[in-house]
Amino acid sequence: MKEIEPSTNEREFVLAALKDGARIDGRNSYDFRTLRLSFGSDYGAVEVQLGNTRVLAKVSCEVIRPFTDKPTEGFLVFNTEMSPMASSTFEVGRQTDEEVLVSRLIEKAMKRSRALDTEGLCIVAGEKVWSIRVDIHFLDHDGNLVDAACIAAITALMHFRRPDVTVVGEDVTIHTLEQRNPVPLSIHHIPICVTFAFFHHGEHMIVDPTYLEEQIKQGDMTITLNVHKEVCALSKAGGLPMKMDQILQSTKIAVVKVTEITAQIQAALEADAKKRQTSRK
Amino acid sequence: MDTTTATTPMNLENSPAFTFTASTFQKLHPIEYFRKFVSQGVRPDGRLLNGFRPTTVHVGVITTANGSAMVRLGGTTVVCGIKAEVAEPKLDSPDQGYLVPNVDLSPMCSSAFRPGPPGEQAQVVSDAINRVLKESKVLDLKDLCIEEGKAVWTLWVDIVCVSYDGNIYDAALASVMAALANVRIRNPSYAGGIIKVAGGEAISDENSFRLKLNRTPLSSSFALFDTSLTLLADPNFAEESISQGQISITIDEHDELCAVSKIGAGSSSQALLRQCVDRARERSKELRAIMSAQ
Amino acid sequence: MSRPDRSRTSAHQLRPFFSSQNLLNRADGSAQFDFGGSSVMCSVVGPAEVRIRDEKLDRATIEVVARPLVGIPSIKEKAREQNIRETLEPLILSGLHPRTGIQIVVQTMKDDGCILSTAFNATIMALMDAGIPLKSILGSVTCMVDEKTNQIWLDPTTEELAQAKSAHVFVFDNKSSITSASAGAQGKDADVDMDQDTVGAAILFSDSTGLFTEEQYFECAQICFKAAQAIHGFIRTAIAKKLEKEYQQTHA
Repeated sequence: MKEIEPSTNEREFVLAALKDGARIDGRNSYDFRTLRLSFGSDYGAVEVQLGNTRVLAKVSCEVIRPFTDKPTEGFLVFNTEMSPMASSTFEVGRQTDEEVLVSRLIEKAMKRSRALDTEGLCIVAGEKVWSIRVDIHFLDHDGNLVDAACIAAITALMHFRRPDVTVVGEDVTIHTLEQRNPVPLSIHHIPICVTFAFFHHGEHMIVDPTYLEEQIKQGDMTITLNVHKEVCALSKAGGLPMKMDQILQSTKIAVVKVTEITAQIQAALEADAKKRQTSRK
Repeated sequence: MDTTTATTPMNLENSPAFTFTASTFQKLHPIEYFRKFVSQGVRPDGRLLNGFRPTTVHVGVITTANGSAMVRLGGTTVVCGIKAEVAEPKLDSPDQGYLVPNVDLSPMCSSAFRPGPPGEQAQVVSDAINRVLKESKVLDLKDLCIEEGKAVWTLWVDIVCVSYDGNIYDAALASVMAALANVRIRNPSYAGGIIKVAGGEAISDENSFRLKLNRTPLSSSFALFDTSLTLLADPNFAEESISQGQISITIDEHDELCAVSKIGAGSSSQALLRQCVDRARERSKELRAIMSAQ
Repeated sequence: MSRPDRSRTSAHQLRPFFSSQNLLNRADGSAQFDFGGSSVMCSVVGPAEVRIRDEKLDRATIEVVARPLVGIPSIKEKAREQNIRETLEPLILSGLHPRTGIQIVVQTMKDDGCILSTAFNATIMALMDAGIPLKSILGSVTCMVDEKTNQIWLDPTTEELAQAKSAHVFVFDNKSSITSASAGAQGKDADVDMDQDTVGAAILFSDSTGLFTEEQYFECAQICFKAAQAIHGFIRTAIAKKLEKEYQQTHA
């Protein structure tokens, strides 16, 4: 179904409010919406709610043969196909430009930043490696899919446990979850995306835009950072021309956001681990 | 909608200008036309309601394939060809081969199908056949192992519909079972990581093997017509397109059920399903006789 | 009388099931239905604009999209889409909304067996949440026959399904179960030799695979029918509660 453009009234109301430094959902310009993380009963499944945006990430693994030119490298595969569940503008089997852009951004942020140690996924060089698959399901689209998806993906990867393996010579035994405690993946760092949207020719800048704000924005930029203040990716695909200073300023804002979000992810993971331990007893 | 407009010419039957020929009536009001036949206990093609269309089975129709069969079910013709290829097994099932059925419904067999990637019906029938073969353990995939962890056989089971006139599932499953029974694969030899499959001399019992089939499931499908859920055995294309739903019963030679599916239409009583099972039992015996006569 | 799922004591026991409605804000209706460790989210959009190619002049076009938890949609999902669509088409009063489209998206959220049944139950709740007019509601339950003991286990987990000789998915609607039960009570049904229980279980959808006998099949149908009554009751209560809440909100 076609996307319905916001009405002139809506558009002007949002823009006028932004001029006064206000957003229609009551947030300040640099506020994220409430972030909720909920874990399933099995490892590697996490549902992220960022305001009304809802994303489910599910991590799974299988043993496969590595490429001959990279015999010790495991695989990290992303699936970010969008379903019409998130928004009926997404059609099955036909990717819109927006979809491609979002998918590429997520892959860039998660894969190229080398957050996951793929060499650590090797079982027997040249023979067997783990392939880790992250399926990201967009359930509800209320803007800023990228940030929500990245939070979901990295949290799910951190939550995931793969079956333990023992290698004796050529023989590889994969232990079931009942036989041996599964092992976590080795994560180098936690890249977090922070998306900015620009209005009034760059005069006003906000973080975590909603769907309505995304429809009205003039330009956007996504910065991927980790808690060590390292920039992993920066993506600004066209749109509005920006001043250097503004990029530096937004990076500083992003650092604060990343620290907050990382802390929340870690707290949620710890709470879940505790819950699991008590339920096992 | 159909009934109201169809009654208009009936009321004016004195006026010849409003009389339809049978074929016009069929085109304008296919459901009403069909209802008139069903009320007399027959179908437009002369069959009784529980009658299946004449069926023929020919095996070994494709000489280049390892196994093949052609099944005609009235106007529906399917050809099944099975090709065996050596492949590497999956790491988590090192001693199991592959059995991959694929149904092709191309525009060649009916204008109802479009060119391009397989449509929904083709995929659904492929899935149904795949499930029967696997869940009913027709073939032990371990029999397809050449060397554990190194090489296994992949059986590509391609089912091509040549002419489509309804009930593709029954025809396709029968062709697959006939073709599987027809499969002959040359004995492979494994030495030092190399698989050799000797060619050349004529295929014989010494240099080849056949598949061990645990059972031969065959299906019988019925269309459900109208709200009364009248059963129409072996529906043709016209009957399929006006039916409300379908019941398929798959049964093997030991009188065990391999699959039952009922989809569409309203709720049907268990008595109706029992009726289908009974009819399917008779039908599969007949079909088995036709297949073994080959 | 023990089964691999140690949380249950009886072979004919369902896992705890629950649902929540109206979770998504972009869809017209949505629901999530859980059977123990299995969970399916369903969203419904419609009646809305439909592609001209799919437009039907006398009724709404119903489209079902099924999505797996892991991997890209395969022929398994195609079959699931067809099963859900063809079962719901006669249930939805699509004639009330000609030349429109109703899109149903079914997303697996957690998979521990019986996904098709979970999806059916989620779909009917999402349709009601979206206010799509329906002739009746449905309830779906899966059961299996154990390879070793020939016991019938209701609502099996993935672990249990691995040792199934046959698996059976059934859907029953609440309308015909009432009418045929009363018809049976009055002895009006043509098959008077059937006992009342058997007549009651009119089957809306059935999908069985594996190896089984006719008796096993109908026994499974009977057991699932009884269990489906609990699902019907649950759906009814859930909807009643939701409406009550909505009424209070609008009339406060």
